Amino acid sequence: MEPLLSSFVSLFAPVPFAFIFLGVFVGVVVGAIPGLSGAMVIALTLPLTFHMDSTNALVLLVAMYVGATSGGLISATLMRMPGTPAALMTVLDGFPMAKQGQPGRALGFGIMASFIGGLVSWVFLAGLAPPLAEIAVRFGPYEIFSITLVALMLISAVSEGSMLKGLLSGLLGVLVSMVGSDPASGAVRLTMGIADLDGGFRLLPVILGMLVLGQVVKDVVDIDQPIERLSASTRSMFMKFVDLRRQAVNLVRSSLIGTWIGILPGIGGTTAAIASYTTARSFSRHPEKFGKGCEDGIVAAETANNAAVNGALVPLITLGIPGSVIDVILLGALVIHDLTPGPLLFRDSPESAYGIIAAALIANVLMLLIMLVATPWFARLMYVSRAWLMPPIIVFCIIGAFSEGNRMFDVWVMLGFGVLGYAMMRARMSVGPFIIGYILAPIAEVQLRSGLMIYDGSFLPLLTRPVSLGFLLFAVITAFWPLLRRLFERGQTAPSIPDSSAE
Amino acid sequence: MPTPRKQRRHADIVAALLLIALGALVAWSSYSLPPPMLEPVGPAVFPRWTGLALMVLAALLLVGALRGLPAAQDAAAVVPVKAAPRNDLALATVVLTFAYVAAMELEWLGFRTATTGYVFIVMLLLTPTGQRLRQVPVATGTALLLGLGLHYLFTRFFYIDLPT
Repeated sequence: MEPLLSSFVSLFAPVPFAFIFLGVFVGVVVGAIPGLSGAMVIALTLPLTFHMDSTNALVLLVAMYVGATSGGLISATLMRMPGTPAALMTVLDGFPMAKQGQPGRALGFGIMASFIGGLVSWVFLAGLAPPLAEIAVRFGPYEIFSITLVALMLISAVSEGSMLKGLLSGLLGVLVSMVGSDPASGAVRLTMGIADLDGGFRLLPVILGMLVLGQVVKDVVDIDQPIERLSASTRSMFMKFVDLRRQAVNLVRSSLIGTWIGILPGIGGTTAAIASYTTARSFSRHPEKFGKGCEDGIVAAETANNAAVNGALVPLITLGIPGSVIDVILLGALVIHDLTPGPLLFRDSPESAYGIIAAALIANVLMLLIMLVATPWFARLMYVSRAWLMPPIIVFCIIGAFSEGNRMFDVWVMLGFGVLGYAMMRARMSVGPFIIGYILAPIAEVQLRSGLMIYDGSFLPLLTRPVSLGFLLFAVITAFWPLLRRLFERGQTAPSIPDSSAE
Repeated sequence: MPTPRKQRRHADIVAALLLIALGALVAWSSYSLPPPMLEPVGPAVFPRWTGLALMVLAALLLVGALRGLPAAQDAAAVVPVKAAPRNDLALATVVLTFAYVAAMELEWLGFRTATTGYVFIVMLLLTPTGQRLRQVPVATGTALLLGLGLHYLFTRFFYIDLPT
């Protein structure tokens, strides 16, 4: 408790507090603009933090994470376009409610739900992370290998679209991660004789290319799409106590769903929002109202996607395993600042570990205040032309890719991954599994090979060690879940989420 | 004009074939890696199995696409497509971006000049034709701000090197 309290005290100093405020502000702005996302702004900001104090850098990025996840609500409600992927489900009820003349109420519900989701999940983050880190220190290589296997299976199983394409995307990411020197023997792999690849593909060019440039190209392709826009009225924006009481069960349930899904490595806010929305509809006495401006839908989606933010920080700072794509970038930030992600973070750099936890709460409170006050102004930013946004984003990407290693080669790599990222989007292959596979595969390989060396080449401890076995079973169930579900549901019609594209 | 579903099938077939070829190439190249020394599993095992897994899964995708199976719900846009996609603009932007980077790599232009020119051209390219003339002052100002301002900001404030 004491390290956490002293982190709070230190973050209220002018400089770190200013960074948290700036992070939330920029995050909300970026989250509100369709075509930009939290992952983009955090990836673009990462190079700017190279020379910053590590704690300030981390709190800035965490604050952006919180802000961007919440900011997506604004364009989801007023433009029928999720500002960030996590706001996908908010569109279904936020926009219809706004169209019915209640944009302020829709926004108010979403903002309050985001705040409460963040608050509940923060309690889990603060309560779970330190003891989990202590337990995780005792994990051996096979336990960590099993956990990464679960993450790889999960991201493929729950990625948008078909599981097969999710697995393929993940495998591509795994493949890309293997380019360069083998971590154990130093043998050079898959470099095609290109000396610059001996060190492998650097993190920033891959992330900037796949997540940012690919999306930029897609946004240019879609530049002529007409966008319906509604004005943001602040009338009735503040959620009344009677509304809060009516939504209490939904808020708590959605917070728990979002937190739990966030904790599961490799998934993230979008899946949390989908799961929470469908659960709320299943439990609702009026499921027919969902998709037509139902408050419950907005609350369920926004509560869960914000709860997932703090939930995803749990595996990141305790195990060094990213809970979502954005956490991959945060993982990169830890590495760039010479911090060892995982259970040793609490021992070796407690100010950074507790700083992240404290910043998550402060950012959540600031998000509430900033969004309640400034949403009508943020809403105007949605009208910024893509012609103005795209060129600066591309320039920032080039600077970011160059800055990590001062090599133009990395810029070319980024451009190449940008083309690949767009090609994958065209092929309807989610990019998320690729990124997670790229990050997790080296961890999985190193841990498995270490385990084999320790146990004289035996795979048996994978099955005899209870934690490892538990996670392996989970991975197997996840891999076969779609097939199992089809067998169980044979002959039944599964309820489906209303297809907004048909409206 | 093929239907969207046919287009998706074609895209899946092309993607599957490319992935099978990639998987085969990776698996084949893993045999040129050294055998394990002092450890049970060497550097070749993971690339080999990844390549093989890629081939198997891509083959499943190919079979599904060839049989015309209903595509599993793909990552779909929330907003219905109402205007024609501007592939021409996207291609032009990509080509210009490659040219911009090449100009700096080959040291034909420095960062400031290259960035100013690139931003100016791309901003006008992405602006609807009827509005381009009106946007020239904005594009000029933005291009100069980015080209000169970013150079100053990154080199003098953040101490981050920039290309040339």
